[in-house]
Amino acid sequence: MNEMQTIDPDWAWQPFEPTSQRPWDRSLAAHLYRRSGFGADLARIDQAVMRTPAEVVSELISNNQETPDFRSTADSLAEATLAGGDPAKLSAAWVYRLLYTPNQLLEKMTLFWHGHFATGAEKVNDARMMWNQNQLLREHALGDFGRLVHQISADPAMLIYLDSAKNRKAHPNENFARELMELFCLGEGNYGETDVLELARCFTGWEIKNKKFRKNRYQHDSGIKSVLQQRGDFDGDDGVRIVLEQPATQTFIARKLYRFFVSEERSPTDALLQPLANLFRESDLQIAPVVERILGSNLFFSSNSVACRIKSPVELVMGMLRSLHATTNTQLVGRGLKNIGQGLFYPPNVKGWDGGRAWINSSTLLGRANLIADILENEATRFDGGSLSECLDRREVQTPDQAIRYFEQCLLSVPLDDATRIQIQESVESISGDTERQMRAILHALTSLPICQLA
Amino acid sequence: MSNRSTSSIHAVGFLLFVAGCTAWPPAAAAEPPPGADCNAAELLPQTIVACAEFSGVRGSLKTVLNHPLRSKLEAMDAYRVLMESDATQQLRVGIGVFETSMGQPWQDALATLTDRGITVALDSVDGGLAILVQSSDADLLERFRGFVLALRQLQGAAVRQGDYRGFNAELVGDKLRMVRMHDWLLLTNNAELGKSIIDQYIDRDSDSLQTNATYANAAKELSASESDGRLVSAFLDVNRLRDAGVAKDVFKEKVDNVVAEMLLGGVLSNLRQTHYATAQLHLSGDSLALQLATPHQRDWEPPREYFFGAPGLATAPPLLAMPNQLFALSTHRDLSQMWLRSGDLLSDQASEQLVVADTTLTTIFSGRDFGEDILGSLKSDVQIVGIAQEFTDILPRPAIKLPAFALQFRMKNPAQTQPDLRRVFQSFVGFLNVVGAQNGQPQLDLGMETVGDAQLITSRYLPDRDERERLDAPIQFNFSPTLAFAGDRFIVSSSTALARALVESKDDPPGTITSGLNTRAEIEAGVLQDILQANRSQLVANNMLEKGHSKEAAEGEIGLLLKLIEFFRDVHMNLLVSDSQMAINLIIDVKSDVEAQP
Repeated sequence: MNEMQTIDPDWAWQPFEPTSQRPWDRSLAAHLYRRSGFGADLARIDQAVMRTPAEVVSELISNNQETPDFRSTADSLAEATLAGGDPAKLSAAWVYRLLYTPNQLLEKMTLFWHGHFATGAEKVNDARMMWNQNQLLREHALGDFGRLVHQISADPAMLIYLDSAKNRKAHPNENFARELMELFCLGEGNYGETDVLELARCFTGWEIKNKKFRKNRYQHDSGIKSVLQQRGDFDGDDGVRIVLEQPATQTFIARKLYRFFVSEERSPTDALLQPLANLFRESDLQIAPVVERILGSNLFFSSNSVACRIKSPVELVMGMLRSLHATTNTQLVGRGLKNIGQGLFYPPNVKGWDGGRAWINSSTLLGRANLIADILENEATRFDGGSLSECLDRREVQTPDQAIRYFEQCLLSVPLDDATRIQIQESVESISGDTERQMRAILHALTSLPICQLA
Repeated sequence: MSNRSTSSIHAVGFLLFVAGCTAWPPAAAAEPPPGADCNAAELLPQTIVACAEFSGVRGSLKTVLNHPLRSKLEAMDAYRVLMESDATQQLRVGIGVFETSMGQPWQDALATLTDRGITVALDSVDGGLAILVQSSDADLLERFRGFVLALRQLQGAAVRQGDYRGFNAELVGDKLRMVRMHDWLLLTNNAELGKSIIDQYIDRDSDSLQTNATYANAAKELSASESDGRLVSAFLDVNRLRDAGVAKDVFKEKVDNVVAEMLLGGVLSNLRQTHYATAQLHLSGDSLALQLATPHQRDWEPPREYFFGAPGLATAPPLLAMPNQLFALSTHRDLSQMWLRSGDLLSDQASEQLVVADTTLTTIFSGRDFGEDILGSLKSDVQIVGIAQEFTDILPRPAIKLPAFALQFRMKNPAQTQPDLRRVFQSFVGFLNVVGAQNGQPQLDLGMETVGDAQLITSRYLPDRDERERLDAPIQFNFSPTLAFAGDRFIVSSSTALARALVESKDDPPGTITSGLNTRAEIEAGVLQDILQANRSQLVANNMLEKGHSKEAAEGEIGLLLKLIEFFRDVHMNLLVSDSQMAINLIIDVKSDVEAQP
């Protein structure tokens, strides 16, 4: 029997109530920050432990818009990179946002939608369009899914990526229509080939002219279409509405959110997802309530979730940096993430990143370790404005053993076994006299461990 | 400095002084050997490959410490922050201790300790390094020795001593040994080198650097030149370096990069032949001047006559002078000859790339040979100028504001060449438009205008209708590629405004033509500062992204950079070639009238 079938859906999505067997402690608070964002330092984790899980989750959800100051700074950086016109450099501006945002959940959800509505800069080849799409994803990241789909359907970068920049009535382009149902809203098996053809007719006349979306009424097929059991003289907006009305939409999105926040390893049953799907529909496809329900649930804080995901490269690197208040060369990080399989603005294909075990192979595991080493060796890397040893010293962490325990609490989702602990300690003892090198070696060793790849 | 830290400095200094006087026996033999009053070159072995002599430390210290810019520098916030840093505080304590030990201000002590010169020498045998300091005050030198030894002991390091022919040699670093020989102090990382110096000091019976013919020639050349304000004079035995196989790329017959060949081919050619090179650094209140020189012979020039001029040494045309000028460079280069002889000058790979480029360019120029017919139609005078662009009344305005630049050539036969160049430029703009259209880039609009007798073939990027008033337009909007023909002048400019200004300017701008001046260049610091200031937000953003700085920290760093540039007036460079010498002069002029800004 599937292990997930034994989980009671009612229990799963009930608010988490700490017990003596499963107390609300540093470990679970760190888990919450890792999953809802990229990680937090120990001080913040300790503050969270002083409050209830529901309070912390509620705060995370309520911080769903960037402050004007932060937005202005982050946008100005993006504009600066856009001035050069190179999409590859744009990823650095996003890295900056990931690294400094006070709204980690918002940025995490932006990353989620970037993988969901995957659009690659290699094909779009226009930094400004990619950035505009990114802003669109951020604007709706925790908002109205329906509005997001409507707007992404008219997004120049998306339409260029799916070869829908020209969609004429004589030759309806099926690409976008197919992906709208298969990848964005319904999933396979919830539509037929006829639906694809008919939905494509709805989008005829939607095109990109001078890098802007426009409806060319002369190229729109104004005939009667039959889409998902509805008939009428539909245009693209009607097509999106009809797709969003399908019951499969709420289940499809609930499943993707489950995979993103809870576990990619264990496939949930429809019954388990049903409460989330119901909530999504009942709240008119608002995203925040579903995310709040997931993050505050029994299942989220259970052994079915903790350490049941593999960190994406972004989660690994940002987690390390954010947990230690580190700043670094964001261009280096942007390039490094691309090298190990998660180039921001460069998803591999329209399906986005597969995630899960696909993140890890012998090459990417080595690549992860090398990227962390590059970051630690880069002269721009600072921890709380200074060296790593100074940063740790301010937290009363002075010895290798203390450092291992400190990093363990910030970065690991499962405890370190004694043998590995001793092995790391012995390996850094050879670096005598140089505390900074010792601390960096410990951090590198720990972040390169297989268990540190678990979220 | 607080009373407490001052008293602690005095206490440590006193301890060091006492320790220096009591714990360490006097280092030198009682009487100096006959002929001890020699110069450093007489003590150093013949195998020295490079040496630099520092003289006039007192004068240089005075120039720097009394410079009007000092007060401006000290008025800066960044200076205050630096002074409050831990490292600076430690340095200040160290200086205090040094002063107490020496019994005089550090400037005076340093000047006296080095008043007969400092020589730093690198030996070709085992890469040994020797520093020889000669002072008129042997007692002060001995106090300094005691200070170093006591300081090392206070740091917890054991001072190991050895004796060689009556002189104590103390280990004062990982490999660094210190020996005082009367009014000399020797520091070296190589025991054998140290011994040979001591042997020579006592015996004076071996060949020395002084008797090295190559060094003697270099020394003669250095002594013949201006010594006022000279801080450093240096010698490099290029022959020995070549024989040792050091920096092989520099001494290769053929260059890998066509741009490097064009800029430095003649210099590299000289380095392949010369026995030695000399350097001099002059410091004055308003400039820092570096001269690098080597001997030169005309029979070293082939196959690079394009660089030097044939049959006589060529002279660069005057520098162009334009308003808001960032830089100007003028040089003599027979580009046609260089292109046609590229097989003799460039490596096989670079040469092959040039052959491919030649084929493409010959096609673009309608079958006319690019090297022979096109470059061959131009004289060897090359003038380049860059200016800051004015965007105040320009829309759309690019987000990144680049300088405009232009190249000016002289045509041998304007009537014949002008139509060809004009037609090729028009074709090239058409080609750019086709490629640009495929990539969604803005399109160029060709135009033509006449200024007096001059003809301009202009082009400008056309913005989309709704982007005509953008203030953050793409980088392309810095450019309006333009060709201009005025008399025998042929101008290729990145902007129409600059081309127009050039044809409107006098044909022969004021400037002196110095015989043998192969290349000259200058950069205006004020204009550079203006350009950086115009791009300040971009620089701040890049700083934040590349260094992970906060906005405040990035603003501070870029602000500091701009303020430091404000201290400079300009930078001049020239390359002088005569029948016997090639010299590169680099002069950095500083201001003394900068307004202090917080």
